[in-house]
Amino acid sequence: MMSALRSRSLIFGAAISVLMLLVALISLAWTPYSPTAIDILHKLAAPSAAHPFGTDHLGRDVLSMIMAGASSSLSVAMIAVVVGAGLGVPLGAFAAARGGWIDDLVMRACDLAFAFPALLTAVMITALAGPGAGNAMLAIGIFNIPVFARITRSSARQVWARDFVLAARTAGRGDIGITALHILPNIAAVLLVQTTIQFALAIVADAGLSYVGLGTQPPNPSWGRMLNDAQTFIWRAPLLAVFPGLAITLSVLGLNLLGDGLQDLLDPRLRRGR
Amino acid sequence: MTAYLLRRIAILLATLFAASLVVFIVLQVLPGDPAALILGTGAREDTLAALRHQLGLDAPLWLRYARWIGGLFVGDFGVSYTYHVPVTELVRQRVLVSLPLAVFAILLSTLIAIPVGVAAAARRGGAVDAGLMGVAQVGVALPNFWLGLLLILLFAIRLPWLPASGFPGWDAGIWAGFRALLLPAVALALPQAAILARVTRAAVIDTLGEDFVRTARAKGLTRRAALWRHAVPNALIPVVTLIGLQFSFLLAGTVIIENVFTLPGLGRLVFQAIAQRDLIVVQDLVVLLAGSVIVVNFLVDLAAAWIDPRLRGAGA
Amino acid sequence: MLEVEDLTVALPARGQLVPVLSGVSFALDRHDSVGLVGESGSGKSMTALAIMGLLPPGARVAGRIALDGQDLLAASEADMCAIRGRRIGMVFQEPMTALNPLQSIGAQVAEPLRVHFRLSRAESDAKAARLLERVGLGGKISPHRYPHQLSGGQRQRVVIAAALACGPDLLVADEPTTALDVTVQAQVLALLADLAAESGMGLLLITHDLGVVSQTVARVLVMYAGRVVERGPTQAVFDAMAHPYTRALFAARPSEAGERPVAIPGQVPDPLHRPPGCAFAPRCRRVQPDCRQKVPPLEGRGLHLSACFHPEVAP
Repeated sequence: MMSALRSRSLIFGAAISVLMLLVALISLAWTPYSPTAIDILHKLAAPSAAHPFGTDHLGRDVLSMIMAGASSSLSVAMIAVVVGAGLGVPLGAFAAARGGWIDDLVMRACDLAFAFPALLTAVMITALAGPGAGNAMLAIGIFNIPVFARITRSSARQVWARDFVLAARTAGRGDIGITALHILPNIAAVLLVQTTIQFALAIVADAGLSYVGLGTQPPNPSWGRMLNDAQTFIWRAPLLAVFPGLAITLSVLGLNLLGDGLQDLLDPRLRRGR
Repeated sequence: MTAYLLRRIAILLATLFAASLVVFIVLQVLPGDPAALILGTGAREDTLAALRHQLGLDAPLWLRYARWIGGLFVGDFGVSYTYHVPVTELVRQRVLVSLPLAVFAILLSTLIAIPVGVAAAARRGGAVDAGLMGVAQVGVALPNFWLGLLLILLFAIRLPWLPASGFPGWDAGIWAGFRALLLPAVALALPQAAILARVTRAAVIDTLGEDFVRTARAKGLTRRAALWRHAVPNALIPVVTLIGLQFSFLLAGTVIIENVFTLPGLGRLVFQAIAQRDLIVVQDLVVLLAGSVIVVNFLVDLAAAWIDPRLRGAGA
Repeated sequence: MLEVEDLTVALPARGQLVPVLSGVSFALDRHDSVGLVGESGSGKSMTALAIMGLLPPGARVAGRIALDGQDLLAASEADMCAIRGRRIGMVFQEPMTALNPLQSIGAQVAEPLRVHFRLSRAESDAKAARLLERVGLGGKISPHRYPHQLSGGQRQRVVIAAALACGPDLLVADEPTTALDVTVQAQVLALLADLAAESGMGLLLITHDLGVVSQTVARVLVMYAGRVVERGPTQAVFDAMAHPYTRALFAARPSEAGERPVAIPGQVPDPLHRPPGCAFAPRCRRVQPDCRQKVPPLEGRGLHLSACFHPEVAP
């Protein structure tokens, strides 16, 4: 029964993720209303034909804000993951290739970095530089670096130990060549799965930061910020709190399912050294 | 065993030291001039100089660091720029909210996740397994602050059972304090529990396939006895490690949850301090939070070694 | 003491029921020893698991297994739990992974004593220490040691000690020495024979190694593709191997005398696609047309039987 569910993970996950991507892309060109258009006369309206998700305390259309929030979340998450992977993967690959004290040092540094979750890093950065989407990307990205470094290093180490790599070394290939030609292709699957996980985490982190005011700043819409606003009016318009949270949950769920599905798909080809 | 312990403690101290260095550099060195940060760039030079002197910023870098670290050791965290009270005072009051909340959340998370994970693994492939894991899959995706809002909606607004926000203080009674922390703890615990349950299930399934479980059954143990006495303890090693890692996420979550439920904890203090540019408070809090993550992971490593004799080093 | 009659087992795999054992029968008494010999896929390990009631879920079992008259196949799980470890002890093939890494060896040997006899911790620990000495792990190896601190041979001794803790009537040993170094193999086998002789328990030894069998057991059953193809007193079988498979197995064994082993051509048939008639026919050098028609029954005079229409030696 579980195996039947699993293959559906990939389908559902991919479907939801693609849907979210589409919504985000579409919102760049068009939304039913401008997400920043204030209309006090129609504030806190319940869902209707004109406003399928209702309006917030400033009369802004919630559906439009959700759509715009998608592109905001996606861009922050994407940059954060790119930063994290872009710096973390080479670092981990380097540590795995060199071994010895370099490897030790990199791993200790990662351990240290893990003591500072994204929020704490963001706190430090915003204490200096002020809040904003850019700093959120930076903070989340910085936190992603040790994650990618870790997983790259452990997967790479397993591949380094394999016979065909030994053969390549004897044939005279240098570390960089081996890493590019042999190591990276073999760990690509693991990294891909990890990327979907980190993407999902980045969306939640971004929402959390926006909720406390450290992320995307108004008037740019963000799901986290919408939740914060909704809380103020939770007695009068409880639905306002539902839609942004649902959006976050759905996006994360989609990405997680996608990651699960990918992992099972690639599993026979992955050497899981457990 | 003692050699192992000493080595771990040495690493612990080194990591704490390194963390404090990182925080110091980021908050005291990078901004260039903390005094200007506090007073703003439009301030007059002599006011800035006076503030710098007052804050001890005209001392050499290493001295400033040493003073700060030395202060931390003796419990002197400095004086808040905004409130002009010792930071320790501020922290002490708030810790009494944040710490019980974090402990409560971890306990809840573990108490829910492990039985669920074991149950799903024991009935693998069946309806119970699929159901529990389906719920867990959704649970993992729930942002804890949204869950907090939903809980407020349900248990404080629709059903007025629990307070929607605020903390009455422990003087008002243990039960009153507990009631105020219940919803926040649940909001924190459930998404963590979902992750933990999935990992527990995977770990138990792996261990159930191990040879020593078969040996146990061949000795006459029932399936249940073999599961709980042999499989589960072995499965716990990766699970315990994960709990330690989760603590760092939990701490970050506590900070946000305190905002959701308006709890006077360390989280709110951090944000107030940021808004007020009270760098010394931010610095102390960040090092405190990072430090507790490091200490908790250290304790978790010890726990893992206590469970698994193979981790205690050669011989033992 | 142990009677196995017409044991037939099928396991679910790839959506079908795969026959694993067909019509296996033998008996084993106290002070007796029987060896089950065959390659992997012959079903010999399944026989052991069937006796212990530890077949994988979904297994279909037919036939009869009786221990002192008690029908084991009809027994409830609770009954079987009372029998496992107490009346029948089992030793498995992989000593490196057979022990719980988190518990001391003393605790693991003491466990069956606590489960079956409800001994106190002190009593069971004391008894476990004595058992460990009996299997040759006294002196420098304290019962407080952990499995990862022991070698393969030592771990196997611990497993044996645990299997014997409650003084079972029957010891089933499934390839107990296969994963061990050659020098250690002889020691462990000698230990098993010793223990069996001392306590009078029956010994069911399962192996693919004819050499092991020739030294240790009184009777031998040769299995191929889930059936018994030859059986008899060890000496009689070795003196006059009747079934072509037994001969081929003998010729294929690695020997210290320097003779080159002769590999048996072909492979064990896929259980889902067994040819009609004798399962060994495709690989047999004495094959005749009638071999492919019907499955040869086990027959012969006296105690030495073989399942072949054209045996090498008329038994």
